[in-house]
Amino acid sequence: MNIKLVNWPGLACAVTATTLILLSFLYASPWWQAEVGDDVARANLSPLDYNADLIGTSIEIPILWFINLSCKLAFIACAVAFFVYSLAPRKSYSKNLLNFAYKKPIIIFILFVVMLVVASYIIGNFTGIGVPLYGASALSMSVGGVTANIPISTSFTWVFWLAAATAVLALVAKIYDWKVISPAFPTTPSIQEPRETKAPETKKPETKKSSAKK
Amino acid sequence: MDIGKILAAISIMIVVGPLASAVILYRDNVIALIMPDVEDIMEKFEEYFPTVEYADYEIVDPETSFRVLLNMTNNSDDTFTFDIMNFSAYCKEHNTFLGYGYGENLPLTIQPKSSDIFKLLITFTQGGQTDVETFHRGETDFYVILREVTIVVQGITVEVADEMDIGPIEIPA
Repeated sequence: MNIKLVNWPGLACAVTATTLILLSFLYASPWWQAEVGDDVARANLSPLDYNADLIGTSIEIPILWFINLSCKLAFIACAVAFFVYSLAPRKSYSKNLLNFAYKKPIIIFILFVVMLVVASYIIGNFTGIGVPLYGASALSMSVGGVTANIPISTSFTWVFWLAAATAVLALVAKIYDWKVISPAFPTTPSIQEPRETKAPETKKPETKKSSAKK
Repeated sequence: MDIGKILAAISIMIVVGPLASAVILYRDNVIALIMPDVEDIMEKFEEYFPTVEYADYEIVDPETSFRVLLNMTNNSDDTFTFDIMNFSAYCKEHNTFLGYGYGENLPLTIQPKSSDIFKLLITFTQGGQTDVETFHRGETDFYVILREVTIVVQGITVEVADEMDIGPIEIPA
């Protein structure tokens, strides 16, 4: 294996993507979490896992399980493709593998952040409950003669930053391929040589050797 | 077959496959695919808050204070913690300000499916003492109204604007 040929950012991306998958399978590690009061409600979110409960009751939203499955498959495919591509970026199929792999962590990461921002905006506008993306705040709700001040704390976990690193590494791997690997080992377009006009076959006189074999 | 086309097909299958499976599995009730079971949550919500029953009272100091004991039952499967309780007490009959009160044995953590005694200590003001001594000595059905009730449970601060009746309380002759 030629070390110069290895796409190191791509290999690092394969490793971080694999880590994210393992963290999801082993610990269902969230990327973002929210807690209301002292364990009154809790949400642990990531594109790979969803877990939320209100007063000890799990809130199941089936579609999220299927979306999580889709994202898990995408990350697995991304990790495998990046691993194969990174070790052999000059193979005929490598460009296809790179193009297949590098967009997935970037798209999933961006969609997750956009979803959080949009959800926070929608909740804030339609219910008047301001949920911060990061940090602590208190919601004030009045029902009848009762006013409740409910503390909410939200945070991005270190796994979120690992996912961010994965997305960045995926982009860097693409740039690395474009700027470093491709110029160093340019692919020469296959020049089709003009077909030689075949001269009419002339019967060669049988050599003594061949005649001897016979 | 071109590897690019195979990878494109895999990409589409990764996205479409699970979502198509979801729609097929929930084809009879697509709403259930996106909505959580609200009834289950509502049932649990009713169980979550402990039930409160008046249990007893104790005279701490015949001149200045008494203690109200409330039996609190946690019917949920999780612990329930009372952090703070403050209130003002008034005589129900004369609307006299009797004194301040606070939850004495706080924070009180009630284990799942169990009960505990919550102690409220009421300390009389001079006006409150006069009211009780003058109008209610020897009564067996003295009622106190709690106002400006502030409770902190599970980290959530609840301010109750409505009045809460406590009693009947027996006042020694």
